[in-house]
Order: sequence, then structure tokens, then C-alpha cells
Amino acid sequence: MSRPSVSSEIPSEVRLVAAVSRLVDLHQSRGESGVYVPETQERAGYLLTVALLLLDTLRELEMDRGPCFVAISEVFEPLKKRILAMTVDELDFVIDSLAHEREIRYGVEDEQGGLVLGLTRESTPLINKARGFSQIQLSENARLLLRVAAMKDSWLYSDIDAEKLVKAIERGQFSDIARFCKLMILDIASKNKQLSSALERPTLAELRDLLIQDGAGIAQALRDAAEVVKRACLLIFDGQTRLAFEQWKAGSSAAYSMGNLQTEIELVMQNVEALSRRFVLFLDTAQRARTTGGEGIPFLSIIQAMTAPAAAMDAERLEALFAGLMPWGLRPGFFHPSLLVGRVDFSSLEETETICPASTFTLEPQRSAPQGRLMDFLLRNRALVLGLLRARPALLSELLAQTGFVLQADESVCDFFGIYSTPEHLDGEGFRIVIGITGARFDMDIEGNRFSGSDPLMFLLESDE
Amino acid sequence: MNPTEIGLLFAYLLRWREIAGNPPGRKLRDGEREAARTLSNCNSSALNDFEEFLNAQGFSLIERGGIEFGIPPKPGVPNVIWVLSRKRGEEIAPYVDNRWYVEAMRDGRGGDKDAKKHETIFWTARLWLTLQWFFYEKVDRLPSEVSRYREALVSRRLFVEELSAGIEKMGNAGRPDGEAGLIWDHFWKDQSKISTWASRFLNVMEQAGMMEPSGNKEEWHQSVLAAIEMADNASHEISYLLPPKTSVASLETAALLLGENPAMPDSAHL
Repeated sequence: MSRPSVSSEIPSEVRLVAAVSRLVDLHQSRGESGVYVPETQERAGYLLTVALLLLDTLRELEMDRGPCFVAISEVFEPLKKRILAMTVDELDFVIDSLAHEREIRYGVEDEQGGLVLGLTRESTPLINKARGFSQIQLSENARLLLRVAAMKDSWLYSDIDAEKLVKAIERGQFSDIARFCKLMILDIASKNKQLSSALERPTLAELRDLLIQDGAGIAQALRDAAEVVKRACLLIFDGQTRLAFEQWKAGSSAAYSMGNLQTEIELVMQNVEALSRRFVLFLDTAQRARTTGGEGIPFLSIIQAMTAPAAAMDAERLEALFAGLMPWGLRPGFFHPSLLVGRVDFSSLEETETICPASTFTLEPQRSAPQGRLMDFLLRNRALVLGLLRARPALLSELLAQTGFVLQADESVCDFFGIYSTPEHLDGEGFRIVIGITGARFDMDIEGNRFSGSDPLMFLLESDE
Repeated sequence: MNPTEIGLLFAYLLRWREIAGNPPGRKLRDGEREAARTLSNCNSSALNDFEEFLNAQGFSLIERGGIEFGIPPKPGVPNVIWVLSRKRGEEIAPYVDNRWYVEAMRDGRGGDKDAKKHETIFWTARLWLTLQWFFYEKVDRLPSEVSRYREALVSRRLFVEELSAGIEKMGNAGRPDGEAGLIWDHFWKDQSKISTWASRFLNVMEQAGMMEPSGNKEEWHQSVLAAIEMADNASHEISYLLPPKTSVASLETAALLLGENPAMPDSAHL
């Protein structure tokens, strides 16, 4: 079996590691016994590769899900496919090692020829572990490392610098476009999440202040980015580009078509524009300084208070409160439309005889609306009703029993029912109509339909004004 | 949105309470793709109609962009998450059982029915509060930080450990008098069954979609549904759970108003 030869080209990540290695060694040396060069073992190459592939796998998962914790077992599977000999213990060792902090000492010029010395620990781990869980995610540090490594020798791309996307299309570097779009989208998603954090946590003042301080610049950069991606979008739909793509595809083994690339770039465009808009909104909201709010809830003290003499709650109260907090269930077994709020099934009231409403709503536009119909009826019969009421108060049933109403063809005395609820229509100069509930009931037959209900008393009240 | 689509959406929402066009870390459920597509193709007036339809039953549909939570969009699927939540201030429809949790958590075997019910309520409260401790206090997260829901992790092992430690601490503090003593008894009596209670509770929470498997066995993260609900509940229901700030003066005032002999804390006698 022939062993694959190690290519003369060093992987870009390794080149990065090599580039900083001398700095790290120098940093580590005591400066007393000459130049410090640590010895390396063959196993070092193996561990370094596992580490780099681990970071790469995590990045792949991030591109799918966004920045979040991932179970170690989920990382192990794809890694195992790439390095057959790898064991869980080796992976655990690599993870622990990458998640460990170390000291990096540094100095900053103080502009007077001196140095201000500093020390950092937090910025060293490449992996964050969720404490107590076998879950890991890339640290910001690792993201930076991968981003720089992904730039390869051309150093062409930067995060939101969309100008480079246009360049990639112009130069026909089609193999880079899909991955570049994905990276840009991930970058946009991360920025969106940062905005969410800044909005959701008012106490995250540092990030907010930073974003607000550079707000105008960032907003402008995003607007520019959107413009440039628009240009890239026009370019990718261009006939010339299509030709170039066909040529390129003939000579490569790419499994995607022009349409795929167009979709990817459109997606970038939509999301850059959305991020740009969201950022403007963010500035607007964040500047209206929310200094209050954002207090954590002391869940443990609530638990302790449950069995504390002064604060204990009774079961009924807790049950009612938790009814609003806990997930609900559905009552199984039955469902009926009448259970829907705001709807009543009157058909269940029906017995043998059918009661048809004598007058009802109409949706035919040419017919007079019910309100108009009532008013018409009133205008015709107002004098008659007032005449009766001036003589003495009358029950509704007595008024209905009067036969003197002037009726139109499709009207009946039932049209007078409306007045029961709106007596003010009968009011006039110096008097008003008042309805009094009597407790009596009426039951009468009008044109073959039976009506029954409470029988209110109507009377006319002379007012002094 | 035609009536068929409304029916399908409603049925889906009642079952899962969450529709994601591009769910991170899990596969699309049966019918989820269609539901997401229907919702994302709706114009705002159709959405308003649907919202009104839900409001009448005490529900509300909340829409959040996946990108807000750092979920990268993918071509061809809406990167939006919809969540069915309670509509604050509206009566919940009669076919919804909001005391379902008592039934789901109850241990049906033997014992006095009322006592069992009380025990279930106290335990559920303790379990739920402990779970929220994992999701918020432990990782220094505010309820308003919805976007960090995937960082809120809990495992069965740590959950049981935390509960045991809590019960032990409670036991060491001694049994209080009065009403609180009865609650104390419920917990103390069942200290050997902590693991059973925890398992039942975690199952119920997973079934109800309040947390999702996080990749390892017996390990979960909070669901976006639970995070959105909590952001709303934090300023309402939760505030009633907060223990009163026990100042001697306020206790005395309350006692005077109620005409009772104030149950003074020990420090007051010193």
C-alpha cells in the first residue's frame, strides 16, 4: 500500500501555527540560556491535526446551526470518520487542552518610550466547555483563527467586506463563492445575535456602548456592504458570468450549478439588507437608554422561601400561579364548536316548532339597513306611540297589541321591538321615554309567530328643562 | 390562508406549539415544512385574521426571526420561528386544561387524593424552579435574554444532585412551624424519591416541548418556546412567587392591619 505523500503545500492552519510558534517560544523563554526551541515528538503532529480537524468540524456544525454548544459525542462521530484510529480519550485530551487557559503577557507602548505590561488569560482558549456538561463550542478566538486560516494565501476575504465577493465573481473563483457566502451568512447571523444580546440584556453596557459609539460608522459600513452585495448579485446574473461559469465548470468537478450560486448570493443580499435595517432600529432603541430592568430572578431563594415560615404559599395559590407557567394540556375526548368562545349554537334550543325571526339582518346592499328600517318605522308611528304614552304608561305588550301602526308591506309590529333597547329615538322637546323593568312576561302571537319575553313598562317623563 | 390551511396550522400548533422553518439541531417534524411555508406566505391581513382566531381561544402566535438567535438562513426555507403562547388577559378556551401538569406529574398510586394533589403541586413547583435555576441563574442569564436559549443546559444527573443538595439543606435548617412545616414534610418525606420525581418532571417538560435533547444522553437545552414564554412570565406570574422582603416594620404593619399577633422573626427579639 502506498502511503499518500505529504504535499509540498503546508495546510493553511498549520502555516498560521508555524507563524506564531516563534513568538510563543520567545514568550516562553527565560532569556538566560540562549534561544529556546522546545523539542517536538512525532505524536505532536497527530495531536495538532486532531485539534485542527476538531475546530474544523465545530465550524461545519456552526455553519449549519449557528454559534451554539454541541455535544462532544456529535463531534466525535464525524471526526472518527476522518481519523479512523482516533479514540475518545485522545479527543477528550485535545478538548481539555484547547479549553484550558494559559497566561499570555504582553506590553503596550505608552507613547513616552515606555511599556505598559499586561496579562491575558481569557483570550487564550480555543474551545469553551459548558461547565459540568460534555458540550463544547468554538471560542471567539478560534473563530478568528479559522477566519484568518480560511483566507488562505490570497488573503482576499474579510468578514463583511463584501467588495471581495464581487472580486471573486469577476475573477471567476467560483469554487470559493459558495463557502464564502456561507461564511458571510454565518457572520451576519453572529452579528444579529450580538444585537439581540445587546437589546435583551440592558446591563451589557460595554457591547451596547461600543455599538452605539461606532453606530454611524457601522450603519454606513452595512449600507455599503448591502450596496456591494447588490452589485455582486447583478454580476452573478450577468450573461458574461454565466459563460465564465460554464467554462470553469467544464474543467472542474463541481456538483452545483449557476442557480445554486445565485440563490446563495441572493440570500446574502437579503440578510445583509435585513441586518442593516435591524442595526438602524437597534441604534434607535438602544439610544433611548434603558437603564432600568434586567434583573435576574433568584430561583434558589424562591425555593428556600417555600419552606420559610413567613413566605410559605398555600397549595391553591401555587396551583393557580403554576397554571400560568406550566405547559397546558388538551382535555381529551370531546370537542364541540360551541366550546369555541364567542359562538353559541342556538339550534340546540329548537324543539318541535320552528321559530323564525320576523325581522332580521340583511346583507343585500340595496335593501335598507336594519337601523334605517327601525328609523323609518319610528318616523311613521312616533306620533301614535307618543299619543298613547302621554295618556298613561304602557307595557310593551299593550303597545304591540295596538292595531293602529302604519306598516309597510314587509313589516309587522315586531319592528317595534327595537325601541325597547333604544327608547331615546322617541325622545323630543321637553320629554323623554324611560323603560322600566317590571318582571312581568308577555307571550303573544304575531302573524303566526309566537313571541315571548320580559314585558317592560314604558313611560313618558316630562323634563323641566 | 384557506380554512383547510387554518385547520392544519391550528392542529399543528396545538400539538407542538412551535413551528420552525429552519430548526437548528433537529430535523423538521411531519408537516412542519408545510406549516412554515403557509405561515411565511401569508400576508399581514391573513396573519391578523389568524391571530384573531387564536386570540378568541386565549392564544397568541409569536413570530421571531431565526437570525435574531444567530441561526444562519438557508436557501428555500423561511428562517422564522413561530410559537403558540397564551394571550395575556384573555380567557383560555374551555377545551384547554391548564391544570394538566398536576395530572401529568401525579403519582396515581394510593394515598389520600387531596394530600397527593398538594404534594404534587409543591414538588412540581420545586422542580420547576430548580430547572429555571439551571436555565437562568446558573449561567448568569436574564429572562429577557431569549437568544441564549441554546446555552441553557440541564442534565438529569446534575438536576438530581442540585435537588438533593437543596432538600438536604432544607432538612438541616430544621422543620418550621405552621403552614410551612406541612410543605417541609412533603419534601422531607419523599427525599428518597427525588430521582423518581426528577425523571417524571423532565419527561413531562420534554414532552410539552419546554426543552429539547442537546445531543448527549439525558441532557437537554431549553426550547425557544420556553424561553419566549419565560421572558413574558418573568414580569407577571414570577413576581408573585418572589418571597416578600421581610422587614420587621412591614411585618408589624401587616399584623396590625390584620389584627394579629405578629410572628416576629428571631432577630427582632435580640
